[in-house]
Amino acid sequence: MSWDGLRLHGTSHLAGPGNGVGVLFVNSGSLPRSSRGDLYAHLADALAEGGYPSFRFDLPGLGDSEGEIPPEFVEFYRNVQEAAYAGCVAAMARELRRTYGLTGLVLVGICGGAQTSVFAAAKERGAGVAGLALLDMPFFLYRSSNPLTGPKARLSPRRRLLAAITGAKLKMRDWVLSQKWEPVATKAYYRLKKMTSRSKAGVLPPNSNQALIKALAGLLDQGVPALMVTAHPPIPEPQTFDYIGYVAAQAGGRLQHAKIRGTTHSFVENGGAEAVLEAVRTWLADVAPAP
Amino acid sequence: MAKSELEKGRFLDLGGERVYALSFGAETPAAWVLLCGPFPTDRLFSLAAWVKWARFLAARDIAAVRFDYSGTGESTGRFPDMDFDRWRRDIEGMCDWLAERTDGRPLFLHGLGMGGLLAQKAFAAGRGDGLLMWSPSPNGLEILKQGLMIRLSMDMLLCRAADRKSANDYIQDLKSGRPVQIDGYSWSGALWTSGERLFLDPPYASPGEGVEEETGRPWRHAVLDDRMSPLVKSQSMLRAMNPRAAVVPAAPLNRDFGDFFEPQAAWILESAARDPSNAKRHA
Repeated sequence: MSWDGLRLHGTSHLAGPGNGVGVLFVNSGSLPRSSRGDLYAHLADALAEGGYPSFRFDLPGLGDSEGEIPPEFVEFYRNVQEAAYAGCVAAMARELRRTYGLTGLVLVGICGGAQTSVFAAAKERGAGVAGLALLDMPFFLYRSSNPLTGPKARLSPRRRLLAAITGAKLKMRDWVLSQKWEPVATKAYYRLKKMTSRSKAGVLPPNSNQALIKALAGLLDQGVPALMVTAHPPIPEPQTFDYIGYVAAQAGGRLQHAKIRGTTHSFVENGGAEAVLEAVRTWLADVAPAP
Repeated sequence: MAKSELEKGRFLDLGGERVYALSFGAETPAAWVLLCGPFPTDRLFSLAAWVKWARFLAARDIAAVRFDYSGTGESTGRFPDMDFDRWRRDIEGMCDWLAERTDGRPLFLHGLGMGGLLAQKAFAAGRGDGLLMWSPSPNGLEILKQGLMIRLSMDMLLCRAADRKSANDYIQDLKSGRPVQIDGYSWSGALWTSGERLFLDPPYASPGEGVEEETGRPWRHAVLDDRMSPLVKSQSMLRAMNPRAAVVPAAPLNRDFGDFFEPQAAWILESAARDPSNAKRHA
């Protein structure tokens, strides 16, 4: 497939007759289209067998595809969280629908792939996005550990001062993490954070990706069905803001949430892959039943 | 070669599986290179840079082909059925397929990490007219022990201290034929056993270059350090890929490898030009 003069490589999984709805997998972060442990390849095989033709493409500069990606990870993450790949995925969806005669495509993505899926669906309704399966999507904004790097290096004196304060805070954090008494301090910090988050219930944390939340809420309002799948390691992680509850409360749409216990962000541990497949299959049977 | 054929993906039937191969052609290639990638868990990080190298070669009149080992990436097959012997046969099968298409041009084997080790074994078995290795793994167990480190670090996250296994426990499991799940792949006892008998042959084990005595085929062994990330794994890269951390440390994702790639490509071209008929004599 060509996009913006670039050759994008992909793999299609075609099996028996379907209902006209296909599935497009979107790269998880900077990983190739097979994803960690080849999870995407296995999911696509299984979904195709179940009547959903499935497609996996490498976005520009990732895996086998042509194109350039930023030199640093953090810049790439910024691009993803600012919807830089939405146009490409929307164009892919359009092209796949046309080529394979599909009525709609469900976008599936882990992490940054989920963010791009939301932005792509919001960008262009004509792309025919029939649903979103969003796996462990981060709602917060990634930022550099060095606030004076990247495109924002040319800042006003006031912003430079704020950046310097942020830098000092991060240095202090690194120092605390290197101390013997760090576990006690961390525990106290999270207790304090829990108390303050209770007092600020319903208010988004300052580093929330507002554009992403707005885009997802808008899609749900328009009736685009979405499945959120979250990974929950057996050892509890510090409690964070309930973004999914927040979005569900804002938008009265068709949002389902599947929690997978005992696995990690990439869903390859402790039967995570099988659990994701089951969650996505069950949801698809509800929103786009295969014949 | 038609323009549309210059970069083309295809599936080849090898040993009962469909092996995904992507060729990066040149109009009039001076040589061909078969790119033998690293262990599947390292492929995740290095693939984009590896493909960049393939395009770099193609732009210098060196046609390149990369492929995924059976049971991994885009190729078909069950990972639990795979071992190093099978992946070495994949390399040999790819060489045989390529040998029919090189039109008399020399074919170089080029491996990264595990690919370097397996390419050397295929080279020793008579495949290819030259061998380039980037940080070849010294032996099979070294590759697997690095993989076990991933299992142990995941256990830190997933298991309470009392429930965690040691590296020796996992090795015993594998030796007893019990599968071990590592980074989404189910390792078999056969994978471990095949690793136990896999070593880089002594003449190629140290960094440097030379020619094979009997055939005159050239070889080179280069070492890539952390600065070559993401072509090789680095600690900073792993930290930058932590999905739960909103603060991302500096780590290169897309480095300009031109200064490294240029002399490597020059070595292939010089070796190909030096005496192609000599290089072909062994075939």
